[in-house]
Amino acid sequence: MELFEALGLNVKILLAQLVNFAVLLFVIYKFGYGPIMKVLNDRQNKIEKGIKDANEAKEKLVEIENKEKEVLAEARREAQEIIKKAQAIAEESKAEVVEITKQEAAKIMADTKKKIEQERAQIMSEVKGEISELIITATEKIIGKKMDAQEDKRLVEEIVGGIK
Amino acid sequence: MELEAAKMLGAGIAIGLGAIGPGIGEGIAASKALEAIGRNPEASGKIVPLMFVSMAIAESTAIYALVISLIILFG
Amino acid sequence: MELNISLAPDILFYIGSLPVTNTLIGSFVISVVIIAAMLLVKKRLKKDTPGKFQNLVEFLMSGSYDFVVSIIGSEKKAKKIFPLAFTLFIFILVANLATFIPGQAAVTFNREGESVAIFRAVMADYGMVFVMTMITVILVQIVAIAVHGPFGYMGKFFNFKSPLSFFLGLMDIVGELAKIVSLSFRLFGNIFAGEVLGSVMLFLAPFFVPLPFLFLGLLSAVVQAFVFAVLTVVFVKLASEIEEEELVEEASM
Repeated sequence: MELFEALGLNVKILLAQLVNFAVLLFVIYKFGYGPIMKVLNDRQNKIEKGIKDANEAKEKLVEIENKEKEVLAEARREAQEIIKKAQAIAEESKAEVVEITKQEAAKIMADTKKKIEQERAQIMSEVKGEISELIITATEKIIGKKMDAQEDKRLVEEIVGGIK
Repeated sequence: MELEAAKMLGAGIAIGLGAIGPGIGEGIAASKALEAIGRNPEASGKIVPLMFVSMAIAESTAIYALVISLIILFG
Repeated sequence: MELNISLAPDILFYIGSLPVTNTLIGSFVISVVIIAAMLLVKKRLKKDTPGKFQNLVEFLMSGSYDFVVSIIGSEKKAKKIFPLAFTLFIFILVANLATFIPGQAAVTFNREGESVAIFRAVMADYGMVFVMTMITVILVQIVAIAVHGPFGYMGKFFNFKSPLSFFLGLMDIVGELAKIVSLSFRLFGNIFAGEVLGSVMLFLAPFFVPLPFLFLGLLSAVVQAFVFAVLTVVFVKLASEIEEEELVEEASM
């Protein structure tokens, strides 16, 4: 074929080109395609894993937040309950204290009244005694004569009773 | 006419006529592809490679003409 | 300055009986550059904090891997075909872009009185393209045989059920052969035509006029590398798919 000659086709050159290309293919496959694809795949896997991890972490975070909220709500509710209870207790104890205080006050009042009564009675009797003495003395002076002690006392008492 | 001159003429005519069809065909392919890109610019990444491939296939006829003219000239 | 267009790569010298052409050297140099880059990446491969260069390589690789997956539709198949497709892509891309390094045309080599350019676009050598195409095509055949079984695969081409299907089977053979031609000549033709166009423009008007053609060449350099790799993937995908009719046949058998 003259065309092949004109195109410069030569079996030896073709073989040389074939070997050349085969070596090139081998090298690219061995040192280019293989490692680079591996690196790319690794990186892709890594990125995917990273994204997955991030998503998981996010989910976990949300979960934890929810839990936190729950716990917080629980705590708040409990606190509320405790406060309520405490208030109830306080209310109760207050009433009790008031009651006790009232009772005590009443007791003190009664005591005081009694004491005052007693004192008054004492004072009264003392005053009565003194007054009767006074009256006796005065009457003695006025009347000038000492009456019979018994009669005298009766008379004074009668008068004092009239005063009273 | 000498044989050499006839060969030259034949080769020129062969490649010239053979290039008409693919020329028109590639023009149609390009115009349709551009139309498609104009209608849907997001798809240009898919259209352009396909356009080149189909153009290359349409070009085959011109390449046969080229081969024939080379055979006439050198064969 | 003379316009020098040659379809075949120029032979620089011989090692034993092996003719060393300028594109052979070019492909070696490009392979060495890519291999060095790969070894550099491998050596400085960091797991979590990639450097700039590693980032670029990773971006290229993961992007093209995702693209291959989107074409072929399954991770398992993509893993198998990706190294070849990626190697093809990178090799063609670097080889095509290397032609845009300025000053290459000036470097010549004097062999037996005539000056020969040392640098030539690697993909403008049909031999190199042919080798890569053959790798792809043979791989496609192997995949098809592995999927359909040797007899099922041959049955696709030699079908005696009816004259029409026999004819269609023969056309399938032509189609497989045309795959070789179209896949290889697409790349070769584009790059070679780009080179010729560039040198013609440079010959006609050295300043500014070739610039648009350079831009066009830059575009086609990337696109052709992409198309070659993608077509490889597409062919493998087509070969590895079991058609529905066959599934029905298998079920009825």
